[in-house]
Formats: sequence, C-alpha cells, structure tokens
Amino acid sequence: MRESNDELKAFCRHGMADIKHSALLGIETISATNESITLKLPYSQKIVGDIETGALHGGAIFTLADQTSGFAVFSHLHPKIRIAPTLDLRIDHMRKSTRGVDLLCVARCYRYTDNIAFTRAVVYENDIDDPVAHAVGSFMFLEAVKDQSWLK
Amino acid sequence: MDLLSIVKECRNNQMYKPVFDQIPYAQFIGMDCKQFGEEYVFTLPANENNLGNPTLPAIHGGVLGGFLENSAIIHLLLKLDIPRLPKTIDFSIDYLRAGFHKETYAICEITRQGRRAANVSMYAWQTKKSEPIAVARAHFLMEDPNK
Repeated sequence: MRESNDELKAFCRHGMADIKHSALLGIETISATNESITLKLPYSQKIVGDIETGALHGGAIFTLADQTSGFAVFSHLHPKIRIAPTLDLRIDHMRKSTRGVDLLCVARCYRYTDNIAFTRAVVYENDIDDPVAHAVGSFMFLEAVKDQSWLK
Repeated sequence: MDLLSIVKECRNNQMYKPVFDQIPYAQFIGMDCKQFGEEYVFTLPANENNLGNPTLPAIHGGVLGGFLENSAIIHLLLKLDIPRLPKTIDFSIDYLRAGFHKETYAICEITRQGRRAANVSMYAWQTKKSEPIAVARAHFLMEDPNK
C-alpha cells in the first residue's frame, strides 16, 4: 500500500462536487493512494431498497462501486488524468446492507493498457472481511493512445 | 396491505405508482412504468439529479444500473406472484452508448425462472429502440410463493 496522496484526495473531492448524482448521494472521499481509492456512501432513507429490512437498494450500492472504480482508474495515472467511461461492471451481492450503517467501498485498478483499465472493488460496512458486495469492471480510455505527441 | 395485494391491485388498475412507493430508491431516481398490452416499459424521465459527467452532460452510469436493476425487480413482481421483493444476487451491465440528459426507456425479459432464482435480461434505450444505450443481466433470489 503506497502512502496517502493528499493531492489526489483533493482532486477526488473536487471532482465529486461536479458529479451531480454522486454529490446528491453524499458520496465522500475517505482516502486516496496511487493504488486504491476508498469512498463512503452515507446511509439514507431515500435510497433504501427494502423498507422492511432498511437495506440499501442494489442500485445505490452499484453507483458507489461504479464511482469508486472509476476514480481508481485515474488514481493510477494521477496527475496525468484521462477520462475513462465504464465499459462494463458486474456486482455480486454477498448480503444485504444493515439499516442505518454507512457503506465503504475500496477499489483498485489492478491493470491497465493503452485502451482499457481493469478494476476490482469491495463494498463493506465496518469489516472488509464481511463484505456486502464485490464488483469487477472495465473502463475504456476515450483517447486510444497514451502519448499523442506524435500526432502534432 | 401486503406486497402481493398491492401488486395485484396495480395490475388491475394498470397504475403502478403504489409498487414504486414500496421502494424509496425508485422514487429517488424518479422512475415509472407504462403498460402496452402485456408489455411493461420502464421509464426514467430526464432529471438533473441523475447526471454524472457534467460536460456532456450524461446520466450517471450508476443511475442507469440502478434503473435497470429496479426495472427487473418490478418486472418480476408484476409478472410473477411473489410475496416478497426479489433479492439481487448479481447484476452485470454493458454500457453501449452514452446516456444523454433525456428520458430513458427499458424493457425486461425473464430468461429463466427457477423455483428459487430468476435470470432476467434488461435492455435500455433513448432515441431509438434499435440503438440501445445499455444491456444488463441479473440473477434474483425469490421467496417460494408455495411455502
């Protein structure tokens, strides 16, 4: 685990404010290193999926996983950020989330090529060894070639 | 009133708001459903609060995922007589085009329905149905109605 990158953390916080839906969910940057990003989704009644159990909706958990994975892609490249929209994302739900408890998500971009970045993410409450969900995704860089200086 | 009674009443009235009222997240993103014959088309009206990319502007990928997942859940409730909300086991989405800041539509199909689990595929579009913006598939765990 590399040391915390304050500049990257500030970048994530700043970026989140622009992403309307994530800002509305109150998704917060907890930590950022060049290896992984941790975001928090605060518990809210508004995003509950099952009113009987109080568990958060899969869609809200999915959004947290997507957001964290997306940030993990540029954490690798910071400060040379390149936009990479989600190509696909798959999430497995291990258990329902607990009423009133905030969710954390840690994501890592474990490999990237000129075109594609590959991510893994874990959603958990207090204990990462008792996860709520796992997600794997791939992201595609908008410009295909890393170094475009030869074009000019 | 229990969930199944609410669902049955919605089927009779062809008004689906009471089902969505059971799921706060559905109201949060502002989705709805329309019936055409035996087909259900789920709708997600353009909503500033659902945007992700601020420059395009485009719908947040997570919202699109949540919309499709919830479409599948409602689809299962409307098509089958299940006493409780289906639980998502896994969900996988492929993004095919950017989802722009306008109304999004989705249809679902139950690919296979077993005794405990169902496999559902989802399809989302905006301008033309032949130009999907995302496709998804998921497994849901359901309570046995005969138990």
